[in-house]
Parts: sequence; structure tokens; C-alpha cells
Amino acid sequence: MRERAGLRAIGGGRRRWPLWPVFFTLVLAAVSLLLHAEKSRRREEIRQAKEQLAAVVRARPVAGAKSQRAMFHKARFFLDYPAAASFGVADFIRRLAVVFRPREILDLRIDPGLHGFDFQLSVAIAREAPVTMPWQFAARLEELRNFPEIARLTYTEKAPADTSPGEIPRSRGGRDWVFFITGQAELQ
Amino acid sequence: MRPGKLARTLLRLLAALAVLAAFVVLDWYPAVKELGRMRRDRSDLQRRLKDYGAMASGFVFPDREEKALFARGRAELRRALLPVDDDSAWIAIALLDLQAQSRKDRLPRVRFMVSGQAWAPELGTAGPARPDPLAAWLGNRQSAGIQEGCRIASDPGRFPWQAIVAGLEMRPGRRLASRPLAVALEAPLAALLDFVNHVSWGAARLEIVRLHLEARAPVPRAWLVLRGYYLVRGPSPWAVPEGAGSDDGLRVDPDSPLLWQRIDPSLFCEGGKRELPAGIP
Repeated sequence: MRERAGLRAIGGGRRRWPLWPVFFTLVLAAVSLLLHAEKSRRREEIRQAKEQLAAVVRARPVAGAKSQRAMFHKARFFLDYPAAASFGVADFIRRLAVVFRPREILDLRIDPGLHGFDFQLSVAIAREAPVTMPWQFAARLEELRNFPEIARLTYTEKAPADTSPGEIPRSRGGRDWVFFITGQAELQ
Repeated sequence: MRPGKLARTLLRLLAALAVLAAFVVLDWYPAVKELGRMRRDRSDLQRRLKDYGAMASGFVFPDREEKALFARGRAELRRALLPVDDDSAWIAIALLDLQAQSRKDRLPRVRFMVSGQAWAPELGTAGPARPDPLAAWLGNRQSAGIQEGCRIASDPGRFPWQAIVAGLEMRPGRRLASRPLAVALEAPLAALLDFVNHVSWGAARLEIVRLHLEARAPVPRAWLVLRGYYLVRGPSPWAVPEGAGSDDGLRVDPDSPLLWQRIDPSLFCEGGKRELPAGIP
């Protein structure tokens, strides 16, 4: 009866343990084994994919070629910059001297940067009584604004804040309007 | 069922559940989690592989001609930076450059300054026996502006060519140095502007840092603060500190179509030197 129940049996002085815990543990271990085998397979797949990607990158080095080209363009810019900046500045003054006659240009300061330059210009326009608003100046300012390289332009009748008192141009005994123009231009 | 037997059965069931839970918590759950991560990694790698293939098929790789262009560009960059033994040698080269240019552009009056002080008057038009009308003008209102220009030119924080220096293969014992100098001139506007345009054409490749012009005087007058770069042997107070400045102005967008195509060889020949058009009043 005890043996048929399959729980335990005692025969000849021996105790017989049930078998189901062993099977149960074996089943659990088998599932673990399958999971670890799958992990190992996927790890191998990832390693192969990484090797394949590295081989493709080695064979067709896009980043390397891009970096070489970028460096070439930067070097070209460095080499061309001095001449481009000096031409840009000289040509700007040349055209400016067409808009404002040289005798009207009191003072011009230009600070070139890598891609453009800032400028501060003071001009003296002769007063023509009884005109209160110097329309000549407005017309010339518009001409200056139409320069293709001009990115920003403002004007005032007061000297810019960073101009030292000694540097402020004076009108000739009130015979001129003095205007201060500041702006930013791009190097063409 | 007897109570003792029921209790034993329950106890075994609990024991079996505990073993199952141990497997799940300690092994299966981490394994399934890692399998999920690996699946994502694998898909990511496959996608990158596919994207790279697509990108590479649209990319124009450098050919022999373009590689030769890169080499010529590097050589030109090395030639552009004059190797000198010390700072004075470079100053001499730069001043001789300026003197030659001022003669070529027929400037009636010119004066060179280094660190804001008159330098080598024999190179300018004011000699010991000749009066120098520029001196009074410069000493009066302009010296502060020139000094400020020189300060800007020698400020390492404003060094704009960091990206170039980083890619430069420096010869052993050489360091990149940068030094400002100034030139004042008085000339008819056409000659003055020609000089401004030509000032960078010499071997010293001078960059304009600041220009000041007064055109109302009987003859237009101007001063320019210039800056040049050279490779100096040994220590120099004008050496550009490592990592100085920034490369903000020289960033190239990695996705720019410019980097996907072969470089046009005609770019190499431009040189940036252009004469001013006629038409100066």
C-alpha cells in the first residue's frame, strides 16, 4: 500500500525518497539552460554584427573622409582670410567714399572678424537752411543700407558710448550735421 | 485525507513554489531581461549597419586626385607659417614686406610701429632729416586706439584659429606665435585703399585687426593694426598658448553637403587676392 502510494517505501531497511522533486528541479534547470544558451547565441550574433560594422567602417571610412575635407576647407579659409578681409575692407571704403564724399567722412573705424566686420563711421553733412531734417543724409544712409554686405545699420546724432571725448568729431562751428553710423557687414 | 498527510502535501507544494521562485528571481528574470537588451542591441547594430551602407553608397569617397589636393593643402599651410629663429626675425620680414608694398603703392608718407612705438624709422618715409607729419597726428588722438588694437591682436582669448592649430603637424622645437604691428599712412584715397588691399599679400600674410581712417584731412590718413602668425624656434613671449582662443568661427557642419562631395580643385587656385575695381572718387 505504501509503495503504491509512491510517497515513500521502506523495504529491507532502506528509505525510498520521492522522485518528483528531482524531476521538478531538472525541468527548472533545463529552462535555465535554454535561457543561457539563447543568451550565448545572441551574444555571438552581436559580436558578429559589431565586427561586420567595424569592417564596413574600415572599408568605407566616411567619417575620416569627412574630417579630411573639413580640415581642408578650414585650412583654405585660414589661407584666404587675410586677403579676403583686406579686400573686403578696402572695397567697402571705396564704395563708402562714393556714397559719402571723402571730405564728409570724419572718422571711420573698422574691426574685421572672421566672417564680417563691425564699423563705426562719423560723417559731417553740410546744413542747408532752412531744412531741418538733412534729407541728403537720409538718402545716403539708404544707399549705404543697400550695400549687399550690410547686415545691420544704425545711426545716431550722439557719439557711441565707447568713443572717448577726445575722439568725438566736432562740427565746423555748427555748419555741419554730424552723424554717427554703426553697423555690421559680412565679408563677401 | 488525513490532516498529517494534507500538511505534508502543503509543505511540499510550498517547498516546490519556493524553489520555482528562487529560479525565477535569481536566474530566469535577469536572463530574460538581458535577452531583451541583447535583442535591442542587435536590432540597433543591424539598423546602423543598414544606415551606414545607405550613407556610404551616397558618399563620394576621395580619389587619388582629391588626396593629392589634401596633401597640397597641408603643404601650403606649412609654407604659410614662416619658420623663424626668433620674434625679431619675423618683425623684420613683416616690416620689409610692408615697406616693399608701400613703395609699390607709392605712398607718400608711411610709418611703422611695433608694440605701439615707432620702429625702424628708416623703413618709413620719415628719416632723421625729414619731418614726420604723421607723428603729431598719431601722438595726439590716435595712440590709445592703436594700443587698444594691439591689445586685441595679442589677446590669446581672441585667437580665432584654434581649429587650424589643432590640426597642424608642428616641427619639433617650433611653436606658433602671433604678434601685432601697426602702420600709419597718409596718401590719396586711391593709393591708401590699394595699400589696405595689398597689405596681406606679402610673405608675412598680415591680417587686419583694426583700421582707422580720417578722410577729411587735406590728404586722407589712416592707421592699421595688423597681426601675423609664424613658427618660432624656442620660447617666445608671443607664442600662442596651447588651447588658446576658440574654433567657434570655423565649425563645419558634419552633415554639410560640402563634405559629401569631392572638393572642387579650382578652390585651390583662388588665393583670395583681388585688385580693387576702378572707381575711387
